[in-house]
Amino acid sequence: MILSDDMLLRAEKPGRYIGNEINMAEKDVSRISVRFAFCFPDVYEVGMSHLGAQILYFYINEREDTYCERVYAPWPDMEAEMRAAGTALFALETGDPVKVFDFMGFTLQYELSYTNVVNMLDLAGIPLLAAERGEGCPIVCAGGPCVVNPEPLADFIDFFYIGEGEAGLNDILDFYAAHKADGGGRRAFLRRIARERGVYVPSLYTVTYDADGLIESFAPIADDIPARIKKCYVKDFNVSYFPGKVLTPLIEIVQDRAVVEIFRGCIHGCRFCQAGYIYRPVRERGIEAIRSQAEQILSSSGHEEISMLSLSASDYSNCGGLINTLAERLTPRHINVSLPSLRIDRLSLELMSKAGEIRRSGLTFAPEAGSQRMRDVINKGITETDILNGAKMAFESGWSKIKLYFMLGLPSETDDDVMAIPRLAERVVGQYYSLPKNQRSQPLNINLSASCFVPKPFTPFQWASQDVYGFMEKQRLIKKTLTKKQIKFNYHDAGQSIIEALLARGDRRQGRVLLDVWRRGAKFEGWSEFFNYDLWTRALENTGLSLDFYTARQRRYDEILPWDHIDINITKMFLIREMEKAKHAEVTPNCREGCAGCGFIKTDRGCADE
Amino acid sequence: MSRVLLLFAKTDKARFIGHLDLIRVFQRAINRANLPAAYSGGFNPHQKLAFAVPLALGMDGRNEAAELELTGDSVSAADIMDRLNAAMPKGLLIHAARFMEGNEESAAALAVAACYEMRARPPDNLAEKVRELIARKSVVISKKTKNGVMDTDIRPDIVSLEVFDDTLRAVLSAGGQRGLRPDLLAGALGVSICQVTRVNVYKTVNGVFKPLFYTF
Ligand code: SF4
Repeated sequence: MILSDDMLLRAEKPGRYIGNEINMAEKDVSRISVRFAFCFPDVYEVGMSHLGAQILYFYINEREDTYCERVYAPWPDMEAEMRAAGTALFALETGDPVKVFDFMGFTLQYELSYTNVVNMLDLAGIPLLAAERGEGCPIVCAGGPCVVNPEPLADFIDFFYIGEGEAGLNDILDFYAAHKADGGGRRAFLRRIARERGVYVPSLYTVTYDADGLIESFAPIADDIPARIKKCYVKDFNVSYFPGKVLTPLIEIVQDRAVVEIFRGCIHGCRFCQAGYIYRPVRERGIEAIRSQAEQILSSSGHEEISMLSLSASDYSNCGGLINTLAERLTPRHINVSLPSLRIDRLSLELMSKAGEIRRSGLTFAPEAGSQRMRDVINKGITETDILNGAKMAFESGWSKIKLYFMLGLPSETDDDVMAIPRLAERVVGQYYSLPKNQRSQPLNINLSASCFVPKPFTPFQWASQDVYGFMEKQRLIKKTLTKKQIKFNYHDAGQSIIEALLARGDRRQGRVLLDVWRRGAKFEGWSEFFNYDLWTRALENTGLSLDFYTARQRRYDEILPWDHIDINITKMFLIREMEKAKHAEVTPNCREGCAGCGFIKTDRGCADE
Repeated sequence: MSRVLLLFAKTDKARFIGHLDLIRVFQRAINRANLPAAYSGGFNPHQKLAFAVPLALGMDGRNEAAELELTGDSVSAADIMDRLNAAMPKGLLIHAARFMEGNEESAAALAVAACYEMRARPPDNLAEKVRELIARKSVVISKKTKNGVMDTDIRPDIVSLEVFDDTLRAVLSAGGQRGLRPDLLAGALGVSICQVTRVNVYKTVNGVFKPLFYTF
């Protein structure tokens, strides 16, 4: 073992650093030509819970010439041990230092993990800046949802992979294996793959800024480099790669259950939701494929719970049929089927009780906004009646713990809209007390949570100003208005959402801020106990960049946005149309009701890019 | 219904699996091995699986015992062992399995003591320290309990204590009634210890310690 017993026993959770999970890939390194370190810039229990990372791990390991190993960010206690002992960042499978690998591949799931990317490069002993890396250094790449705006990390990453890994990563690895066998260098390799779909090599593009700090031009340095990078995606979800097994951890992780993805994409176009646009088009998996995958994963993992993953389970075209099929097979085996992200209505409540969903765990409603006007602005297709009816039915079926999710600071939000949030929560309480007393055996428990809105690239709100100066007052307003003791109000530090917004819509100049803030000790910024807003203000001051420019500033439609060269097949015209409709609180029907012309082409067999 | 007693070792990387996690690891191995596990009734059914004496994180265990209930006896003990071993992570190895008698007491109820081996560092005057401790009639330490810190006499919990070079071999009380952790013993001795191994867990048969697993 690379870490001594003493180091492990002093750590809060030694199980994070030992690997050895069920289904871990084991290969003879001497017969491997490509070594890939798959890096998750967060702690083990978070990284291991991520389905996409698990799929890619097995996808890459299907290759005989490649060994994909895993690396998670060591928790600060272990980081201190490693730095003191001079132990470099290592991969869990072999314990070998990341430095000797061919690739270091980061998955970027949330912006606040960016400082961990920098920290992991440092712990690995690899030059932080792409420009300073030479031959013999791993090629540092990154993928995941955040790379739809790769610019803030452009200085650190050799190439980005835009889109779904299982749709094209193999081609890149093929190029690399051949290139390495020919003795080719890293620059030539990057230059070669820059022409491939989904690949963005930031060093091959130059950007200039005008006097106001806006982007003046953004262009490739040569004619053979594409001006726009098209994302890769899986076309047929029934035949796309699926491993049939999962890494089963030896210690408890955040999502400690088996997971099957039932469809990717979302038919709704909620205007704040980045996932709703970047994962388009909707691709469903058939019931038979889901059933077979569920059984394979369960028998190879031994899990006692399986969760159906999607952005909105109720939109699966035959949700009832799916649950019946699964419950029939799995309930006798004491396996729970869980259905997160359901819209709460009669059908879903019935489904949940059929699937054996435990009532104690509580139900989640996500109205996102309190007033109907605001819900129309964000194109959230539910009404107050839907919510109140859903709550009533849930209470009638025995639930008494309810979570309500809202966002604060949405574009055009007024105090009236804010006040509508506690009002709606109190009406939900009213629904409970409208029940006869004998149906109210459990104490009512409403958890009202309000997060701060972060405008994201590739949403109609990508031009919007973030309400940085309004958040605190709005939180106070809600707190002041709430009188019922059954409602617990949860709100978050606005600082984290402001920095998330800074990075989400940042440009290349953020590289300097990231470097500076990392030097000041920033890491695990997604964890409120480690997040430190002051470090960011100081880093911004030191680098001469304005926070407001990136967060509070309203963009113009004709501005060159930092992510304009990324093509996820959603047109700017469509996003502008949606933004304009938002201004008039005009809703857009979902993709099943009608096509809003987002950029894909609708056919009878779903939507496609060609 | 049948009850199976498993004798297993927990070594190498598996040492870093804590007790609660170990339960989950066993449950999943049982599922992967496709054994007909019996489930408790109630709201949240779980497998009927119990460990004799929890093993502390970081410790090696050579002869640990766990009890598992199955819905029938269609699978032989040897098969149970082989199937579980195929499903276990590295570092967990079942070396024996047997069906329990109908009226046999549970392993957890029978366990009274355990034998530990550990290295002391620095080993200076180890033998002398041990001699001095053994000679005492009572060894009072303050021990954290549910009701706060309490002074406890641990002398009755030290059954035997021997030294070989820098290695300590201790038989200490363990199990449901009372128990003494090796690190508390080390504290009383004034030494620090590493590489702790629980060599065996005992029950008493006619006043004599016998390994928990065996019926003789
Ligand atoms: S092409 Fe039309 S139906 Fe398809 S995803 Fe875009 S808006 Fe929806």
